[in-house]
Amino acid sequence: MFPSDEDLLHQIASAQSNALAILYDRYGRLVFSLSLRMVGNTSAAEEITQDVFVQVWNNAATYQPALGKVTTWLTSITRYRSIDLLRRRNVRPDGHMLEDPLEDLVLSGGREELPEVQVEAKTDKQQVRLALADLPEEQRAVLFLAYFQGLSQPEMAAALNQPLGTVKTRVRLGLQKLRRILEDGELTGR
Amino acid sequence: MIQQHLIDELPAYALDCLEESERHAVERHLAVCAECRTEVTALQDAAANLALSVAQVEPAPQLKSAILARIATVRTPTRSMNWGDWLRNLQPAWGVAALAVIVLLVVSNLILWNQVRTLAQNTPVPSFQVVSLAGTGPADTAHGVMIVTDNGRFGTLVVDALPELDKEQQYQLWLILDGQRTSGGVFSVDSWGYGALVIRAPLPLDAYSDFGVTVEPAGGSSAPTGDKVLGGSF
Repeated sequence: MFPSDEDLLHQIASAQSNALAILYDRYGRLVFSLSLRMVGNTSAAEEITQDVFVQVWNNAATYQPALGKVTTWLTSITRYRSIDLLRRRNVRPDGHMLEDPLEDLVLSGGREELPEVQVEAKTDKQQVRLALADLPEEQRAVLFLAYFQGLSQPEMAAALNQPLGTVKTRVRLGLQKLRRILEDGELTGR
Repeated sequence: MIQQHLIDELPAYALDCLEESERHAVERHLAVCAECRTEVTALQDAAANLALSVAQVEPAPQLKSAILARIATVRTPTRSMNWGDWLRNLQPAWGVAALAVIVLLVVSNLILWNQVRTLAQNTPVPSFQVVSLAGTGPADTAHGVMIVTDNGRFGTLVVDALPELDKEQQYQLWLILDGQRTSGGVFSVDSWGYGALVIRAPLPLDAYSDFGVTVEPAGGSSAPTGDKVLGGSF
């Protein structure tokens, strides 16, 4: 039987290391790629990936399905660790970070996975890519600055040279629209 | 108190880009509003999809073995197996034997419980003293209760609906006698605002007249420095 993500966390909470190995096979590349995108350094991304899975090992029992999907939990831990590193380095947004984020979106195949995981992952990535392309550029930009750079709304307003109220509106409308598109699968063809 | 929903702030909360004071205000609201908690969970799931948009890069093969080697050296997970896991992992014959032992234990417990009940009917039951604590200031929907043994030597504080704090902060209980404040211990609450504290005090707890809870730096302070969030009296 193909264990669900929740089943795996349940087994990890019972100290079954093979379940952590399966979870890594499923999401190790996602965690590594996200941290690499955020910190821009392979060895730092490897360290963060290790820390994320050790944290999952230690805290699997605290995961509550009612508070979000396993991928939300994993990516959230990855973001916090990466943002923490960025803040310790005191990295500020530069020109590269303010470029249209869709430019560096690359869908890749590559690794051999169990067929059902591969198909599901590709579908999700394509759907997210299409949904992001459907957002107005200025809304997409604030979502990326918040998510990948960990900038607060005032920091984004300063980086984009826009009024704080404008940034707040873009954040609100952008995420609400992304959610709507991903839940309903409806693209507006902006 | 009926609070207005904070729908407009929830997307920024889900993206973790609110300023600290705004985030605390949203967390106080989420602690008491199930509808907004459901909404923010859906927004957080939507935001997590942004991770799928990055270029996928294969990590070095040795990363997996490094992680598995690390977890072999760190402490085991916080939750041990529950009865369900334990029974599932047993061979069938051992499962039947284990079930028989459990049935035997349940039956013997019932017999013991009956004996205890009979004894209890003939024995004076020690009473507990109870102090209610009401939320104040930024936590006016919070509440707490202190349960103190009749001789005042031991007590426990249980709180609900207090805002969850940053890891740099904790709640601290103050025991007040003639205006002097003595620490009764520090505690944290979970994301639902629930927490508990076994109270440590130099005097019997019923020697104190009033009790308060404030927000302090993690580990506590020698005297109150932060906002008072709960208060009550004997």
